[in-house]
Amino acid sequence: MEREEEAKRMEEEKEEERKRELEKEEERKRELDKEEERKRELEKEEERKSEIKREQEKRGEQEKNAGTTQESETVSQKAKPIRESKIGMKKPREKLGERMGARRLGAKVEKKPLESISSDSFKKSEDKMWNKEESQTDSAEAKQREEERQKEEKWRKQQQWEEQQKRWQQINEGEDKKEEEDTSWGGGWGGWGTSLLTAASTFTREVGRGVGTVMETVEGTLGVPDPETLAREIAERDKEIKEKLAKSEQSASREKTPEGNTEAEELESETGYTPSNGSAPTNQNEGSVGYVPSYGLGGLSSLGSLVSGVSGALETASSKVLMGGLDTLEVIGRKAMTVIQEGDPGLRKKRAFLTSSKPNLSMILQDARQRAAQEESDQRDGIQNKESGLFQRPNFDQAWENTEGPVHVEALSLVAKQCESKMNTLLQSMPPYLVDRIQNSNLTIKKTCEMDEESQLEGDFATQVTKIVSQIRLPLHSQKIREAWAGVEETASLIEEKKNLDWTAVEKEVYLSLALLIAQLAALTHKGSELALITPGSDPHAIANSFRELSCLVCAGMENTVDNICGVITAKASAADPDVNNTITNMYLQGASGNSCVQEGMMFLSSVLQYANTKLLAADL
Amino acid sequence: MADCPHTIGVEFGTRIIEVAGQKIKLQIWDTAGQERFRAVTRSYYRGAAGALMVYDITRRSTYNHLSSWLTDARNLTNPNTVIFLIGNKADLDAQRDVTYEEAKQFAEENGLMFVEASAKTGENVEEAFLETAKKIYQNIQDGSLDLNAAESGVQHKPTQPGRTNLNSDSQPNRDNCSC
Repeated sequence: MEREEEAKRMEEEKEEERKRELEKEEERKRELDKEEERKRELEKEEERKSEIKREQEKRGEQEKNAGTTQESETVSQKAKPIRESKIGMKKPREKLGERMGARRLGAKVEKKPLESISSDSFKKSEDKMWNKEESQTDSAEAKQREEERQKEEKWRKQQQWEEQQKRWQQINEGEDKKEEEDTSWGGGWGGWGTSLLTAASTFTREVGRGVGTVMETVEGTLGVPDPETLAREIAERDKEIKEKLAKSEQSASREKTPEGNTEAEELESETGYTPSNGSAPTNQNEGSVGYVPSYGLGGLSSLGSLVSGVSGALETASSKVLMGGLDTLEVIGRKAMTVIQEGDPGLRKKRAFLTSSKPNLSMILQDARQRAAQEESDQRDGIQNKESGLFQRPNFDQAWENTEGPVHVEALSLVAKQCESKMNTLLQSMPPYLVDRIQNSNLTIKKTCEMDEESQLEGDFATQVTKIVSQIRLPLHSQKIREAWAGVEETASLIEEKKNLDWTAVEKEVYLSLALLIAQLAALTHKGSELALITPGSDPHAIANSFRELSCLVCAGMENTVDNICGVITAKASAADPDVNNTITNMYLQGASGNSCVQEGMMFLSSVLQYANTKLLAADL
Repeated sequence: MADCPHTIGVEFGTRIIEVAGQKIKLQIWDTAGQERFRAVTRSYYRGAAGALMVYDITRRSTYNHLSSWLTDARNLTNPNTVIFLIGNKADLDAQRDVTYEEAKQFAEENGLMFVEASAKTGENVEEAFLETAKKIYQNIQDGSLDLNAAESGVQHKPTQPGRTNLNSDSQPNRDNCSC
């Protein structure tokens, strides 16, 4: 009797247990229903928000908005719907993790931190199996339930397959690309391969950092909505389709879905298993991966299905990403076109600019050659009939370019530059009081070489040049500069003798002779600088003074010549000739540019002498 | 050659030649070979588009110095500078101290163009300058020498049409000047 009673009690207890279990399950179902409701609400909210976002083009605003979304998501805590994860598609990982954390807190089902995909799935399935065994020993009803579950699984698999087929249709419609076999690894990775590039553009910070940066820049400058918003839009669209499909699925799989989902999300967010471990693929998992670990019967089989699920998920995710990337590109392209077309309808100006304004080297050279030939023939003509005056007004620089002058100045400038940098290095290694002393000494040289005052030519040019050059204690020769001066004098006297003057020809001759004179001065200055540097015991101050004298002499000689020739022109020209004034003005002007050539040489000489002086003073210490 | 004066610092020469139908003005800088000018002449490498490095085939010491000249040339010019090795006094084959093969090998090892020439007879002198100019022009055409770079040593002058200045540092060692 007692035994019977005990058995009865046992049975009662079992009954109670079963009841409790059923109750629990019912409760769970109810909760799930609530969850779903909340989910839908949130989804709607999200949709609204993303719609607002679509309108906002500025990034900052978007980010703010995303922040609020984040907040609301966190507030909703455990009720966070699975598909909501889509919304975070382009969120930085921390944010996603945050959200996940919040969700996990609220979830009822026990969870373990997952290390990797394989260990995760094994752990989970082991858990399940253990649970199953327990329940099987407990009651036969459990078996029944198990059978039901299996049926459910089959049905859901069918559903999922259909769903994926649909998704693929979508992709094919959008992309016109055929990627079949969405369940095998090969297919999955194939899909990845093809869409990796585009995926990079949307997985901004995680995968395609380089591309992402470019995208960000483009967005920043063009005001294109950022990938987050775009991805959200796509996610929304996708969600709408999926929602319909998933409704029945949801109700059918109430029991296990939350667990499966969170698990899947953990997988995605924590293991870093997929290259796309942003949040893009997460939304896939509720359909494909979600149920796998919970319904799998054994470790291996669950792993297998998980693998196929994941690969399918990745594929779909990547395709979505692909579409997102294309959308972004399209938006950027459109925006760019509008920006380009602003104020230039038809792009006429831009086209003209792009097509015509960039001549290539060969064109330049060809053009230049033609002009050279032209000029040459012009010159020949000019020489042949001096009266014709067909060519443009001559200038000093043109004549100067035809002498050795520029190359001497260039060479001198190279030496000067080297001296400047050497001097700076030298001064840096010296104590400040010595630097001051040296710099004061250098300042005298600098001032000497500045030649600020004008001087008049007194006495014979050649005699003075000889005298000055001999003063410079360097092996320099005054012969060439004297010859050049003789050339200037000859030109001036020829002009005086001539009766009918062509102003242009006169100018040309004058400038050429003066250029030759200054070129000789430049050559002398250049040689003087070189010798001053390498000649031991040379006195930079004395050299500076001598060259100042020499330069002043040449400038005075030049001015004198121009004055004389202008006087001749004025005397000879008839008052009616309108070109006389122009010629005279131009001559003085060109004389000034000759002057500046002299000054340039002196400036470089100054640098060289300052370095020589520094070296000298440094050696004395 | 005793009557030939030493170069002080640098002497200049110009020559207008034609390469691929283009008139090119060669600005030739003949830098001093004497050791005491070395500090000054180092300034002149900068911006050279090409360099002619000359040694005397009858004097081995000039050949032995090549590596130090080459070091300067490499260090102080830009990487695309064309360097041409020239064995001067090819007319004095009887007094030859450096074989053609030896110098040719040295040139190949260092990526230099090479020719033996004679300043006295003028043999290969024109060719050496012309080849250098062609190589520089080729460098400009294929883009390895940027005309716009400050130190390209090549100027395109619209005011002096069709002329390109090439600073061609030639370094005659001791007596090897083109008198």
